[in-house]
This record gives sequence, C-alpha cells and structure tokens, in this order.
Amino acid sequence: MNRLQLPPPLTDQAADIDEVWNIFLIGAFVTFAFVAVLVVYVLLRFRRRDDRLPRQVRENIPVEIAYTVIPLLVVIALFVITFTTVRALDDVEDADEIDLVVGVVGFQWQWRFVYPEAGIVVTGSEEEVPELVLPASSTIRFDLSSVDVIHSFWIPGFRFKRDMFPNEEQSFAVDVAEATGTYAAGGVCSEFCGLDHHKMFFDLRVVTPAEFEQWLTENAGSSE
Amino acid sequence: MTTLDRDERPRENDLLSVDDFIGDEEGTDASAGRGLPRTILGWVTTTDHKAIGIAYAVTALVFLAIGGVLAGIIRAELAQPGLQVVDEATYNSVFTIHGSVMVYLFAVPFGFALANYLVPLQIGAPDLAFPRLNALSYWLFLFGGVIMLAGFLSDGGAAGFGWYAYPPLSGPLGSPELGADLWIIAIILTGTSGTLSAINIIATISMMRAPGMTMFRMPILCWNLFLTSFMVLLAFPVLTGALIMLEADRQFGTHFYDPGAGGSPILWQHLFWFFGHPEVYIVALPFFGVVTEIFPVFARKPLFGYKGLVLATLTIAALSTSVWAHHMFVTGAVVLPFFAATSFLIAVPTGVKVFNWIGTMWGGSISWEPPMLFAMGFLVTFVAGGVTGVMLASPTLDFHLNDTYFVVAHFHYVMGGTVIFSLFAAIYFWWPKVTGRMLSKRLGQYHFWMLVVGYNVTFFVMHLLGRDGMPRRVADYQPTDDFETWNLISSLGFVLLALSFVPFLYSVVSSFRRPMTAGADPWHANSLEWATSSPPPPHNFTWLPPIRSERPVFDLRWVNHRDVSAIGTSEAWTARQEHDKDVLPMHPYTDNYDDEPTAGARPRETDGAS
Repeated sequence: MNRLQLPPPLTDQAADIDEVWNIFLIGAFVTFAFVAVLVVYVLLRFRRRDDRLPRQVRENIPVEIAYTVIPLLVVIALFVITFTTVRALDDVEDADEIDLVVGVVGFQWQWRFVYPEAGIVVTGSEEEVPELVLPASSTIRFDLSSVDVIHSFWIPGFRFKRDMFPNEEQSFAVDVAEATGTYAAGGVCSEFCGLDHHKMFFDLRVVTPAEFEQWLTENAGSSE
Repeated sequence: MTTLDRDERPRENDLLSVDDFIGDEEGTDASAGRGLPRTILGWVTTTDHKAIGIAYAVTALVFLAIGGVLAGIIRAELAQPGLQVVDEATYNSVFTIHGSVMVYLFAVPFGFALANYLVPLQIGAPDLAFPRLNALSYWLFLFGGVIMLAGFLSDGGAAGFGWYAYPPLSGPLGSPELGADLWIIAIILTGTSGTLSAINIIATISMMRAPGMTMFRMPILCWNLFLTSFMVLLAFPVLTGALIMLEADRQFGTHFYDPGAGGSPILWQHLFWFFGHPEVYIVALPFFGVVTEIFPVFARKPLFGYKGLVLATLTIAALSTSVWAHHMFVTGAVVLPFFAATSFLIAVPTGVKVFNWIGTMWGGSISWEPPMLFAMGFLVTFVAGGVTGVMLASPTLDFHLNDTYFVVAHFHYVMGGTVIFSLFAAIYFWWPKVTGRMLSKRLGQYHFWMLVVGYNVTFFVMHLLGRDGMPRRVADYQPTDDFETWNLISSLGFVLLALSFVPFLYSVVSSFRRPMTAGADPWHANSLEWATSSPPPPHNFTWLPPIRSERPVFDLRWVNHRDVSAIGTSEAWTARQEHDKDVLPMHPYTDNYDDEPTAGARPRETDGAS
C-alpha cells in the first residue's frame, strides 16, 4: 500500500498550487525556526545569574521599524505569489475550451455525477461507492449543486475544493494532466453536512481519452 | 522635606518591600476572609469584582474540563478507523459541543475572569463601574452554559451541526431536534453576557483609573481588555441578531436562511464570520495581555516598545473586522484578493508583538519560574500557529486545506495553544495574589513539560492529516497507512496532554494546605495589583504608590536605582512622596461613607476664604 495517502497533483493547476505550497512551507519553517532559535538563545544567554538589575531598555526605534517593515515586505511577496496563481484557478474558462462538462450533485449523504452530453448518471448509495471517471489531458468543467444542505466537492489530487449550495450552481474548470490512475476515496465531502457526513466519499479514476470514450459508450443511457 | 546625606543614601540594589508600605491595616491579616463571600447565599448575591472574577474563572475551568472530556471522546473515536466508542449522531453532538464549550463557555469567559479580577486592581480602582451589571453578566453566562449542555439530556441529543451552525443544516429541516434550539438560546445568553461585560470594562477603564494612571501607563493587559471590549461590542450583537433570525426560521416560520423560499444560506456565513473572526482575537488578545504582563516581570526589564505594542493591538483590532471572508474562500462567493490581503496584513502587527516580547527579554535577567515557562510555551506555540495562519490566508492553498485537519491543527495552535499556555501562565502568576499561597515550582515544571509534549504531539500530526486529505468533522476515516498512524499518535498525545493536568491539580490542592505566606509581591512584579495584600482587602487598596510609569510597583521597589523610571534619585522620590501626600489623597477605605474621599486628583484648598 502507498505510504503516502495524498495523490500527486492530478491537474495543471494542482501542480502550480504545489509549487506555491512549497514556497509557503519553506517560509513557514524558516520563520518558525528563526523565532524558536531566537527564543531559546534569549532564554539561555540572558538567564538570571545574579540579582543585579539589567539595563532598562525601553525601545529601539530602528529595530522596531525593521521588524515591522520586513514582515510587511514578506507578506506583500506572499500576496503577489498567491495572486499570480489564484487568478489562473478562479477563471472558469471560455465555453469553447471545455472538453467535458460534469455535473456534480451532493445530497445527504451521497454523490451523483451527471455527464449531460452522454446521458450518463452515476448515483452513489450506502452499498456502492460512486466512481467519478475523468479523461486525462483534457479541460473539464464541474457544475456543482446540492439538493439539501451545503456540501463541498473536494478532490485532494486537485488541491482544490468548492462548496455546493442548494440554491445556486457553482462552476470551476481544471486542466486534468496526462497521468492516469485509480484513487480509492479520491474525493470527499469536506463541508460538514449532517449525520453520515463521513460516508460521503467517492472513488476517482482518471483514464486515457480513448478509454474514456469507450467508457461513455458502454454506459450510455445508464440514467436511472 | 528631608534629604538624605550622601553617605546615608541607600545603595542602588537595596530594594524596598511593598509589604512594608501596606502595614498591619485591618483586612490584611492572613486569617481574615479578605472580603470573599463565605456562604452560598453570599456567593449568589455578591457584586464584588474579585468574587465574580473567581466565579468566572472557576466556571470557565469547569467548562474547560467538560470540553476536554468531549475532546477525549473525539480522540478515542478517531484513534482507530471504524466506529468503536460512539455512533455518528453522538459524535456530531460531541464535536459540536466541544467546539462551542471551548470557544463560547471557556476561552471568552476566562478572558472576562481576568478582566473582572484584574482590571480594577491594575488601574487602582475599588471595583468595576457597574457591579450589579457585572453579576448579571456572570449569571447569564452560567445559565447559558447550562442550557447548552442540557441539550445532551433532550430528545435527539445536543446540537450536532458544528460550532458555526451553517444553515440549512442548522435550520428547521436540517436539525429538527430540541438540542439545536437550546444551543441557539445558550449562545444568545452568553453573547448578551459578553456584551454587558464589555460595556462594564470600557466604562471602568475610561472613568475609574487612579490619579496618575494615564492611558499610556496602563498595563498592556488592561489595554488589550479595553480594545477587546470594543471588538465584543462590534461583533457579539451581530451574532446575537443572526441567531435570533435563525431561531425565527426554526420556530416562527421565517425564511432568512431557507434557500427553498428565497432565503440565503450565505448570509448566515457572512454574519457568523463577521462575528467569528473578531471572536478569534477576542479570545486571544486578553491572553496576549497576560504574557505581556509576565515577560517584563521575569526578565526584570520594562516592556520593549510599549506604544508599538498598543499600536499593534489597535491594528489587529481594526483589521480583524475585515478579514472574515477568509473562512469563505471556497464558497466561490467572496472577493478573494481583498480578504487575502487583509488576512496577510494582520500577520504584521502580530509579528510585531512577537518581536516586542523577545525584545523585552533581550538583555534581561530571566528567571525560569513556572509563569515564565508557560509564557514561553505560549510564544513558541503561537508562532507555530501563526505561520500556518499565513498559509491559510492564501486562497491558493486554502482551496486545498480549508475544512481539513490542517485547519483543525492551525486553530488549535492559535486559539487552543495560545489560550491554554497563557491560561496556566496566568494561573501560576496570579495564584499567590488571589489565594495568598504559592504553587509548587517543581510540579509546575512537570506540568509544563508534559503539556508541551502532549500538546504538540496531539496537534502537530493534524497538519499532516489535513494536507493528506482528511476532512474535519468526520466520525470515521479511510483505513490507510498514514491516516491510521497519525490519528493514533494524535490520540496518544492527547493522553499525555490530559495527564499533564494531574501535577497541576495536585499542586492546587496541596497549596491550600499551606499557610498564606506569599506576601503582597512574591514575584517582584510591576503593576498595581501587587501593591496590595494577597488576597486584596475589600475595595482593594489601603494605599497606592505614586504612579509615574507603567510599572509603579517596580519603581517603588527599585527606587534607589539610578536607571529606574522618572524618579531618578531618592531625594527626588522623597520630594515626590511629599508632593503626592498633598495632591493625591488616597486614604484607607472606611465604613463611614462621609469620611471616604473621592479618588480624583484634587489639590487641597489650604488657604483663602472658606
């Protein structure tokens, strides 16, 4: 079994997000290590050795300005990095770039996947975990909706989730990468939705475009 | 006026003792009750800020214990995949009430406990501005808490929709059971209690400071409680209004949040988080104040960058009202750049605070007493939670991490760790003031190290779980290698975390067997609460030192030292004493109302036609 649960990035966007993640992670480690080392140093270096009163320093304006301005510059840099990637994520591409539209409906406590062009509907049940089948190397738009409470459609391999509201359809599009594979419980509901929230997951299978065409043909008209 | 000869002048390291100034006034006798009520009826009817402060603290700690037991149930259930301990419905109630108890009934009320007990003492006042309103706040809080927990006894169990209660799940169809209504009513009551307390604190700090206690000589704890109170006034009524709308949806047939009838679930999210994010800082700021009191005392240095710190707190308070939608990045319904920018920005004043704390210790003379250890634990834990906060402020990363165990880890570091470490720092620090007795240093060290290890093992692995794809609020999870391993490690860490309370409780019990020998100022501390006996007498002060900086007690103790404060030399201090005796009449409290002077600085009219 895989030591790591988290799938590799399955979309081009996820690969970008992972790069941003690495930058932030290194920044977080460096910041934490800097402060932790500083604290330990201060604790040891300035521990009480005698009863004399240390020099009563109340301020040091240049130092104070430095530790205000430097973090400010750091967060501005992080903001810029964030927004070069988030704009690419948040655009739902023009309709003519979309290769496939998949409708995703959440309900308490299962999923329904709708492939409107092929007329295929996959509905999960407590006995049968639903499977979401996607073609590799294609741009896919997901139209999200819910029939009861708020759910959230999360595929960890996409590094992305989007809430599903009962009164409003949400959409997002991703460019699925070339790699194929099967991911058990590759997607979950991540917004708490009541009693059996934890049972609301689905399997994810990414296949080659040719296999996907074949899967569409085999399952055509399977709407229940 | 007398001046000392050069040879008679005390050496600069000769310390004055506060106890010598308090003397043997009535009420400072160790065996006297020091004004705390002695009967149940006395406790029920008291309006004394110290009694209510103690009641707040004890009640909040009882709720901490209840929340901790609920956390234990969660960790027991998640230790292994599958359902072993509770069923789904119970699990959902348990994590909902765990979160609600910790946030609404423990963390915020403990802040009010600090405010109740310490604000009048630190600003040199005899009580809060509105003592009866204060008693009302406490009782609203207590009954609110009891009503929330009563949900467990009702049909269908306690509320099970998470502590932020998103409709439609929390609406009449999503959660028809009575527990949900009890939860809503409980939060309305505690919210009202908080609003009343905030008014009380603002009035007290604005109007009742002792002569000489200017705003910029106030202890930072008072500043933080003052600013927190404004945030409470801004945030709590919004939540109360939103909850009344939710309850109307449930019981009176309105449709504010009902998508089927044109209502808007997202409206609730905006209203809730407009309360919810300031709430995070409402929880945290009093505890920031606690450690800001402790670092200077145990480093024997003044606070580094006092005004910068006040400015940073003001900036946090202001920004905290405009970051709420970072909880809603994944709804696709908010302006990402704006809320990401404000969320990133709030890291700057927070970082400033951290460096101010380190600057305070830099070059100091640091003693590792238990309050200092816990304050250090706070500092490191808080930074660890802060850096993940910056990650979550980025929508790019939040899309993956939101609603996962990564977020659970993050807020248990920033809200849980901050509060717990700082809470114990406060307890170890003010225990001698409140009880007149010391807590064991050795047991405090055991407590600290067990808590550090237990806390970090429990919550650090949750980062890994979340990044790896485990959503929060699940009663069960997929049996994969790392989910199983890390959940088990986390649960084992929780056992150690829970065990760390054993030395603490033992220390508390054994301290009550010892005599009240702590004295007025056992830590050689700075602020005015140490200028009165331990515990303080009714109406707090029989005498006040001159207040010439934010460290009046320190200035008094080190008065012979050339470096200290505005006073400079002993001659100057003697002169100032004479001066203060004339213009700042702080007389002993008397039972005779006519004899009781006003606290205001009013020059005595000594001559002229009268």
